[in-house]
Amino acid sequence: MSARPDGQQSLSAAFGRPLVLAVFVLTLLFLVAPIVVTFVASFARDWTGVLPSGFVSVRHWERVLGFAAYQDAADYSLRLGEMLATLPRDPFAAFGKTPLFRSVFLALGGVAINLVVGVPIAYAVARYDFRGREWLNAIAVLPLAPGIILGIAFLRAYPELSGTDFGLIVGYSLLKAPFMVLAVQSSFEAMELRQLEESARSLGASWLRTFLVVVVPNAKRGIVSGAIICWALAAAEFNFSYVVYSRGARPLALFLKANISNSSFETTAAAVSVFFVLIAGVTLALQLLGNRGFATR
Amino acid sequence: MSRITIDDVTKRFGDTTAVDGVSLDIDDGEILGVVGPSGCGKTTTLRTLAGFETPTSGRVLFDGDDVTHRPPETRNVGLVFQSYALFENMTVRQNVEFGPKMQGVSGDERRERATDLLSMLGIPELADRDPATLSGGQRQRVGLARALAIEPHILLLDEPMTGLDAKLKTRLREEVGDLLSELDVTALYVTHDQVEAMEMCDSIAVMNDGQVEQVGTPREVYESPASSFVSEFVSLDVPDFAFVDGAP
Amino acid sequence: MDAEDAPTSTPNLSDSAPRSARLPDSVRALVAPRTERDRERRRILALCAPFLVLAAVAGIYPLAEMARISVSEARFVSTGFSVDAYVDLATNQYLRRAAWNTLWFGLATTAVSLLAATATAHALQKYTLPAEDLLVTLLSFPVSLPGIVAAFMIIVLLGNTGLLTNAVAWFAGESAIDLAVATGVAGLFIAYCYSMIPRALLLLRGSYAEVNERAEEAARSLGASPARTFYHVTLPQIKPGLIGAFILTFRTALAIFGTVLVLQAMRVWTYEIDYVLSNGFQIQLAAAMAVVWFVFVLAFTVLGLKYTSAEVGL
Repeated sequence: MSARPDGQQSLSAAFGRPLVLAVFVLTLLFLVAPIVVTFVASFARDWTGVLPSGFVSVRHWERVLGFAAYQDAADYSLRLGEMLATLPRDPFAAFGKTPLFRSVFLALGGVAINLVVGVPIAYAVARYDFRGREWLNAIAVLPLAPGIILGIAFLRAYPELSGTDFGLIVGYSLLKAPFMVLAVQSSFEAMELRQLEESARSLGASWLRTFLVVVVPNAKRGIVSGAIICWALAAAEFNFSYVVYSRGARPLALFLKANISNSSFETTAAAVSVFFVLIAGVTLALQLLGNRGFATR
Repeated sequence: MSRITIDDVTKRFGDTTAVDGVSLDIDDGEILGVVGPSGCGKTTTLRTLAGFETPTSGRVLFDGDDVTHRPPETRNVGLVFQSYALFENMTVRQNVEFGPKMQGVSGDERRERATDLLSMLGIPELADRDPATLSGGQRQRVGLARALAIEPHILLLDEPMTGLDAKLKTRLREEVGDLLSELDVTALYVTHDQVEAMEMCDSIAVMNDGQVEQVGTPREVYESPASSFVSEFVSLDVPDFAFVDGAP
Repeated sequence: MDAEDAPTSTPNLSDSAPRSARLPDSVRALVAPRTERDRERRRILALCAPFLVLAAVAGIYPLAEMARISVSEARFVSTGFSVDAYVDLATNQYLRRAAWNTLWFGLATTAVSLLAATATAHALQKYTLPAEDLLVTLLSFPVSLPGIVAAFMIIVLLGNTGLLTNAVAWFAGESAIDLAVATGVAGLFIAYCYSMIPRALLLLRGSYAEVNERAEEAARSLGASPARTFYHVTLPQIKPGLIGAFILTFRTALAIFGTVLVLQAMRVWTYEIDYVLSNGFQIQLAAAMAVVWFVFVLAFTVLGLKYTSAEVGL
C-alpha cells in the first residue's frame, strides 16, 4: 500500500471524489426534484406543454381541500368545506367528515398505544440485562409483518373490527412501534440509566415512581420525537389501510391514492403537496427538538 | 445515623463469587473506607448495603435490624455516584428536595433542609440552576446534598472523586471530609485511591478477590499491613504519606 | 434518623412463606420476590408486558389465524386440514413468475439503492459540503412518503407529462408519450429506489458516523490510494452496518405494494396477494401467499442476523 513509485496519482485519487460527488448530487436531485416540481405544479392552472403554466392558481388546492367541486361527479377531496359548514350545527360529526381529521385522530390513537408499549420495552432493553434480551430487541425494532400481510391477517382474525377506527389504530400501533422504540432508545443510550434509577430509589422513590417521575421526564426528547415520527408514518400508512378500510372518511393515504388514480395531474399534485406540507411541519417540529429530520439515531 | 453490620456476606453471580464471606462493622459516625483493585468486590459490597444486590448468604443489619431482604427504597441510605446521576429534569433545589418529598416531609421543612444543605456545601446560589449547566465539582456537591437531605442511616460513596481534576480533588477531599465528620455521618467510602481513603476515613478495609484482607485505622494498615497484598497495595502510591494531625 | 423511623412496610416474610411454599420457585419469585434480582425480573416482565400483549393481539394471533385459514378445508371457516391452497400456489405458473419477479427485482433494487446510499453517506460524512444540515433534512424527507407517493414522484419525472420525459422529447423532437417509462418496468425500478435509498441512507449514516477516522488518515498518509483506503480500512468498519442495511432494505423491497398498485408495471408477490383478494376474495390463497412471504422474510432475517456480523439499527 505504498505510494506509486512513478509518482503518478492513483486512479481513485483523481476520479474517486468527483465520482462519489456525482452520485451524491444525482441522488439528491432524484429525491428532491420531483417533490419541488410537484409542489410548484400544484399552483399551475395546467400542464400540457413542456412546463406547467398559468401561475399562480389555487384552483387545485381548493379542489383537494374541498372548497371547490371536482370536474366529474366523484369527490376525492379532504372535504374541509363540508366540515366547516357542518361545524356550527354538529361539531362532533364535522370532524368525522374529513379524511384529514380522521387520519389525525387514527394516527394519534396509534401513537398513544405506541407510548404505552414502546417506552417501557425500550427501557427494559436499555436498562436491564436478561436472557433473550437481544432477540427481544430485534423483535421490538424490526417490523413484525408489513402492512399488506398484517392487513390480511386482520381481515381474517377480526372480520368485524378490522376496518373500524379501533382496528386501524391497533394495526398502526404495531406497524409503527419500532420507530418509537428506536427513538426512545437513542435517548436512553445517552443517559446513565442505572445510576439514575438507583439514586432515585435510594432516596425513597418506589421503582414505579422512579420510572414515571425521573426516567420518563429525562427521556422526554426521544419520546416526543418518537411520537411525532410514529404519528407521521401512521398517517401515511397506505398498504394496511388499503386492505382493511371499509367505510367512513378515507384515511389520508387512501385520499392520496384516490387522487393519484383518478384526478388530473395538477389536482393530484395539490393533494400530494398537502401531504408534503404536513410532513414538512412534522420535520420542522423534530428539528426544533434537535433531531435531523426522520433520523432517529 | 446508625451502626451498620455486614455479617458474613457472600454474593455470587453465576459461577463467579464477587464477595466471599465479608464481615464489616461501621460504628455510628464512623467513616469506613473500602479500598482495593477493580473487581475486588468493593462496589458489590456497597450495593449490598444499599439493597441493589441481595446477598447469596449472610445478613445486613442497620442498628441490629435485619434489612437483608428489604428493597432499597425502604432502607434510607444516601448514595453518591461517580457520575453524580443528577436528575436533569429538575432544578438543583428540586434534586435536593426529591428524597424528603418521597419520604413525605412537608414542603416547608423540605425547603429549609435544602437551603441549609446547599449553604453548608457552599453552593446556595446554585439552587435554581439546571444541573446540566454545572461544573463537575458543583455537581458533586449537589449529589452529596441530595444524598444527605434524607438524613440517611448511612452515606454510601462510590468513587465520588474519580474523574475530577487533581486540584479540585484535593480541595473537595478536605471539605467533604470535614463536612462528614462535622455532621457525624456514618459512611462507607469506596475508592481505588488509597490516599483519598487514608485522608478521609476513620478506618480502612482493604479488599482483594472478594475478601477483606485487613481492617484498621489508616495508620495501622499503613504501618503494619496484615499481608503482602495489603503492604503492596497500600504502599503503591504513598511513599511519603504524611498523617495529618488528628488522624487516628 | 433513628431506626424506629425507618419505613416498616415490608411484608412479613415468615407469614407469606408457607402459603407460597407450594408454588414452583420461579412462580414464587414473581409472586413474593425476596431478592432484588427477583424484583428486577418482575419489573422486566412488567416493562415487556404491554409490548408482548400488543404483539400477541395485533401480530401473533392474527397471523396465526391467517395461517390457519390457509390450510382450512372450508373457504371461510377454519376447519379440517388441507394444503390445497399451497398446491395451487406451487402449481400456478403466474405465481411462480411473480415470486421470481419479486426476488430479482428486490435484489437488484436493493443493490442499486445501497450503492447510491453508500456514496451519499460517504459524501456527507467525509466531504465538506455546504449547508450539510439542510442536505440531510432534504435527503431524509422521502423516508416518510408512502409507496404510492413514490410512484407519483416517478410519474412526475418520467410519466407522459413528466419533467424528464418532456425535456428529452423537446430536445430530441420525439413524442413524449413514446418516451415515458414511468409505467414500465424501468419506471417501477426507479420508484422502488425512490423508496429505498432514503431508508438505506438512514442506516448507513449511522454506520459511517462510527468509522474511526484516524485509521483512514493513517492509511492515507502511508500512501494508500483513496480506493484502497476505502476497501481496506473503511469498508471493514461499515460492513456490519452494510449487511444490516442490506437485510432491512431487501425486506422493504419485498414489502412494497402501493408503488406497484399505482404503476402496474409488473406483478410482484404483494400485488398478487391483493389481486386474489380483490378478485373473488380468495382468502385461503391470499393467506397462503402471505404465509409464504412471512416465513421467507422471517427465515431470511433470522439467518441474516445470526450468521452474519449484521448490525441492525432500524
